[in-house]
Amino acid sequence: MWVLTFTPSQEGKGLAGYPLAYVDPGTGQLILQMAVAACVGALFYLKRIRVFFRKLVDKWFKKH
Amino acid sequence: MLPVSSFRDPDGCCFAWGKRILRVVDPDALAEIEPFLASGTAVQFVARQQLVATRKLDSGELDELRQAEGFEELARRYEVGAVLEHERVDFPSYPYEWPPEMLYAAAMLTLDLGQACLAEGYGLKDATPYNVLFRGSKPVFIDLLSFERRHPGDPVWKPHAQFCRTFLLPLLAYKHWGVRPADVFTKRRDGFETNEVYRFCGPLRKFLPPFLMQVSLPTWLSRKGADKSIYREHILQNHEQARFILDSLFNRLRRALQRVEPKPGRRTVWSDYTDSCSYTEANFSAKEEFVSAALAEFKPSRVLDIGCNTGHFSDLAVRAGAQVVAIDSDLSCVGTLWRQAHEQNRSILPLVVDLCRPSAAKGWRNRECTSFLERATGAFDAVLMLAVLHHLLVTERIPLDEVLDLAAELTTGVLIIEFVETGDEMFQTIARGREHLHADLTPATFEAACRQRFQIVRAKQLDGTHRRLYLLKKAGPKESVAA
Repeated sequence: MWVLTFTPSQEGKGLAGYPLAYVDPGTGQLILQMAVAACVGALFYLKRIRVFFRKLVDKWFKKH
Repeated sequence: MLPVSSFRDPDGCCFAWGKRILRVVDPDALAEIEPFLASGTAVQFVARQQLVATRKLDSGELDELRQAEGFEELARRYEVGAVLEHERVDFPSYPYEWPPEMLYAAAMLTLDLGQACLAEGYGLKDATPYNVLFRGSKPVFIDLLSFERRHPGDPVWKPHAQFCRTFLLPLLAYKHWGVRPADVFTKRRDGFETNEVYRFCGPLRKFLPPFLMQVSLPTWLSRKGADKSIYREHILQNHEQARFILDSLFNRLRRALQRVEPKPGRRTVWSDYTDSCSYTEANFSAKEEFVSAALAEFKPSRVLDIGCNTGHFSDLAVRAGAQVVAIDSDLSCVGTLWRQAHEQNRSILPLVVDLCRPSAAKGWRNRECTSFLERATGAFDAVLMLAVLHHLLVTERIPLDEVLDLAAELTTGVLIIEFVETGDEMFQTIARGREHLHADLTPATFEAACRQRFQIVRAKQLDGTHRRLYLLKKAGPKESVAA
């Protein structure tokens, strides 16, 4: 799920030229944001699975 | 060099050229900003007057600017890709002058913009109340260089911590401990650190929501120290997933903000003054008529209402067609006034300013945020000082000549002032046995002092009271109001 990439290819820029941080990201806040993001990222797939099964059920009901 | 008011962003700087607000943008930043300005999101927010309107100076205007004194030095320090001109916001104000309600409104606008621009492939690179000014009662986002292109697979919003420090934690501190925005932003550019708020919390509160997620956990995690790799970019291969995570973050921040929304109803000494003050109905109507007639006669375009309290007379000025800046030292009054002005879409900018201790110039070399008096001097063609003079004379012990000198500097046109004699009930209440210090304060001496700076157009004694209203016009030719 996570791809850790660091490309200091251009001065002041990160990946593929996108800018690096400008303000103080705060250590504790950043760690917490990333931890919550990991959990929410997992929910993304659960949501997709739920949507898949709901479509399946709707299809079955339509057929019958 | 031209006075630069905003310089932290490496992509450019903002400065004033006469009355115009200009921004130097470096070539790389220009290549990012121009497409954003043309995007649907930017156009929509500009149309709603929530994002400052901006245009690029053409080559002729740029050549003229290059001739301006000080620009050459500025161009040496900053790479000039282009110069943008922003629509000027009439009266800049700063977070330490706002009631919590205005800080909340600025926070909501920041979140709305930050989330909306994701659809265009952009994001905000900072989230601070200094990116927002108020046009009347409406917040407008002014820092165009805050917008930058985002990697579509980046699920992290780096300004999240700054948003918490400068919006969420100050509002949380206000809700639970009555800490005012002025207490935070007068001394701290970047708001509250989590460990500062952590120290306010008792042993139980640290484990309860919302403190656990917003204060305690970030504080504990920051104590552990961190591997530098957390500051690197972490990119997801699934861009839809990254967007899902970001939307979830913005929605969570919005809910957290709503939980600390300042609520109306905090009562203070002055919050119900209009209801409880000692005017009879007839006298209050007479006062309204006097002020309305003066405003109708002189038709001021910009009015400063000093000691606005509930804003009743600010409202009269708005109805007479003026834009109003209303100041009072009472936080609750200013918050209530903003709430009403915002709901009714009135052009009133209420600020928490004590005229006896107005906001000083702040920031690097005292140049980033100008003082209140510097912004206000010569910016209004009418000033109201209703039921406030006696507080300045008695409570604050400001000499009458000093008060009138300041009033003459603030207004370029008229002054509507209420003189309260020593026999007045409120005067005696606040004097508390010190009336002898004002033994020479009579209508005659007041009028003599006024005539040194103003012409007395007319005066009116309120029946059965020791109060008089005066309409004073600035002596000498009227100066044009600062546009």
